[in-house]
Amino acid sequence: MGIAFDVVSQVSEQRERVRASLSRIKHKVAIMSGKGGVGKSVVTANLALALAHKGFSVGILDADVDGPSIPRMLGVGGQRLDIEAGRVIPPAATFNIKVASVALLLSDEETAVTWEGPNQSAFAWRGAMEMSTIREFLADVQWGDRDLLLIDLPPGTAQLHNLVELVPELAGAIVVTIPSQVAKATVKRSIDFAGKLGVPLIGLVKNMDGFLCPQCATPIDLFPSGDAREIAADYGLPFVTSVPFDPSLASCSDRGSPYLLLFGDSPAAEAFRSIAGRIADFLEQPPSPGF
Amino acid sequence: MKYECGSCKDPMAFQGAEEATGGVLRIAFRCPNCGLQIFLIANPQEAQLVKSMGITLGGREGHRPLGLVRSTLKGIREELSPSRDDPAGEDELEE
Repeated sequence: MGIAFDVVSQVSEQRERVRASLSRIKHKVAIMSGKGGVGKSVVTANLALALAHKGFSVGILDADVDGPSIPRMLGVGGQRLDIEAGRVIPPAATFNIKVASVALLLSDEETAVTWEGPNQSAFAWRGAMEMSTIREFLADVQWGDRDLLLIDLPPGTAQLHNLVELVPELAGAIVVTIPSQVAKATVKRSIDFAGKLGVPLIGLVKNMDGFLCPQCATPIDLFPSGDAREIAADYGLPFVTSVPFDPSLASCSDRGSPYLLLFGDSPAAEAFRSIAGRIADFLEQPPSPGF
Repeated sequence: MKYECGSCKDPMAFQGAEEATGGVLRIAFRCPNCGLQIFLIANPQEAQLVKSMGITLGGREGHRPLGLVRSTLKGIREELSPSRDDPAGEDELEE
């Protein structure tokens, strides 16, 4: 006899698929920010390169379902996910970084992410669809044995909540901000929310922190104010580093070239290595209770 | 969730689900004892919400990788369309 809505057992089976798939990945780390446009994905992509260069085997889940950009930044935008023997095979970027993203399913890069379904009251089901997308990527991608899975979250806090439901063993999160007052308030909210969810915060990264004059290397502020060290201190979390704005970083992201290899001596590359170092230290030494 | 026959107090059996016009879902149940039949009508939004959670009406189907995403995402690459799947590719839970 069939049961029409065995919701609980189906949801529990979904969770079990995620658990089984992620059991071969030692650590899962989220990259988050309450605010959009702070360069989270650029930080994620280059952090993956820095970690892989350091010897970690790394995967990235582009959890920004509506605005996926990781594949292009890592030079695998033209590739696609393959489906073999019931599993999804992700493309591998530089240093064998495995990449999974909705972008790799779309017929072209400019196609908007939209779903089949009734347009009326679409708000009622679109959120569930986005969470299911992340769940299916976690469960069905053949990540293989990995040291680390970086999960690039979209702006806001909703997906962090969903992620914690799906990946309760999440090791922690890196918070990215920019030096502006608007970002400061928004990022503080997301830090507060992460604390309420019990997500350990690995550290705070200030992105686009000034621009070095190409002639004389004098730092020039891009934003009028906003001290990330103050935010970090307010919440008792480590301030990891500042990543200066570098036009070469932007052009490498556009081209999908590995900035870290091409501009390894730059201050921004040094900053990414320092974030990687902080993550490595954090994973070796789990946080004390209440951190 | 299931339905119980008002007369026999037996759980009713799922008979099938069909999509009527406009995305309305019609789900049939029958009492295995007295044969009483009832229909649950779900509006398009309700039907889509259940689908978006990855819940299959009538119980489990064979697992297809990224099955929900590939069957719902618009503009998907043709070669990744679920219609191209080899049924033998369906898998079971694996550790």
